[in-house]
Amino acid sequence: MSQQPNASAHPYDLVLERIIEASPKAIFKAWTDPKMLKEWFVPKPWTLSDIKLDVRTGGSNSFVMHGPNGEKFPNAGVYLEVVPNEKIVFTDAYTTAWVPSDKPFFTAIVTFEDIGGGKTKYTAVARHWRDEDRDAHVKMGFHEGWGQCADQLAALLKK
Amino acid sequence: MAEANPLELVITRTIAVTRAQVWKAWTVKEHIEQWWCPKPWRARFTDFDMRPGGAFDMHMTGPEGEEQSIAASILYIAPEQCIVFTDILRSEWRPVEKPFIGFTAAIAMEDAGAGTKYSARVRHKTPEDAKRHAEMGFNEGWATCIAQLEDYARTL
Repeated sequence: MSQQPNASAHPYDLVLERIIEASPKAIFKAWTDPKMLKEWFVPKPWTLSDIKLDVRTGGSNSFVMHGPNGEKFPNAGVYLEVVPNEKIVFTDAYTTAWVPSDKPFFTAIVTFEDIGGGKTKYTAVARHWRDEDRDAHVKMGFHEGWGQCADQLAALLKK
Repeated sequence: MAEANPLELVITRTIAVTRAQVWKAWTVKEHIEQWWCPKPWRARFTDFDMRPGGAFDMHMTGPEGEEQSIAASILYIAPEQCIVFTDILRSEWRPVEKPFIGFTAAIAMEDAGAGTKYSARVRHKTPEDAKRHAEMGFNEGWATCIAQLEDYARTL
């Protein structure tokens, strides 16, 4: 289930790669439409609420993650780069353009590569500031969590 | 100038050159190297890529041979209006584990009569970082550079 970072990855990177049976355009929409994001972005039984996405370079994103035992984690970040149907880069290092958060944890680069036959190579790279943040992300279940979310995303787009 | 926000350092100057001249002085490597450091320090950009995620890596040399390199990157750019850069990320969105300071600078340019209102709003993660940046001579250093920018941009 878990994936090893590829050879070119930096030691503070975590990488998830999947082939998804959907077009880059459909995956991009699932990432940028709040109604769709709600369906797959957190591993069930976790849920998402208060989703606000301003999908453009410098735009803010925010949402609240809810756990099955009443856990509640608000998130705020900024899109660093948005290339429609190809690439989304976001970070929690800024809460809004360009106000630094006091504890940056990671920057994510998500790419959608059309490989033909209606399939997309889906790659999510999480880049961290520190070794211990990478380790903490692994312990939080990066591979299982992002893996399960990628499965949920694939299932949603199959419907 | 009183700083209302303990995380921010702000400097604003009205300079007698147009936004087009400022833009040119800022976004062409050969030009920016002429005014980026308070003289007699000299600046050289080892990597210079004016786009979001592009490298903005500088190397500065002092009169006694002191050296200081800072790996930075461009976050946002709007022609003749705004440039945002930071040392917490380097090119291709690579986090910098031990940044020079840990700052994000937003440069804004607005018309002011025949000249330009040029402002830099520099934000930090913590008040301590902002204080350290101020103590390194932020105000004097940036004021000198803006004056050098004005002088140089006049020739463009």
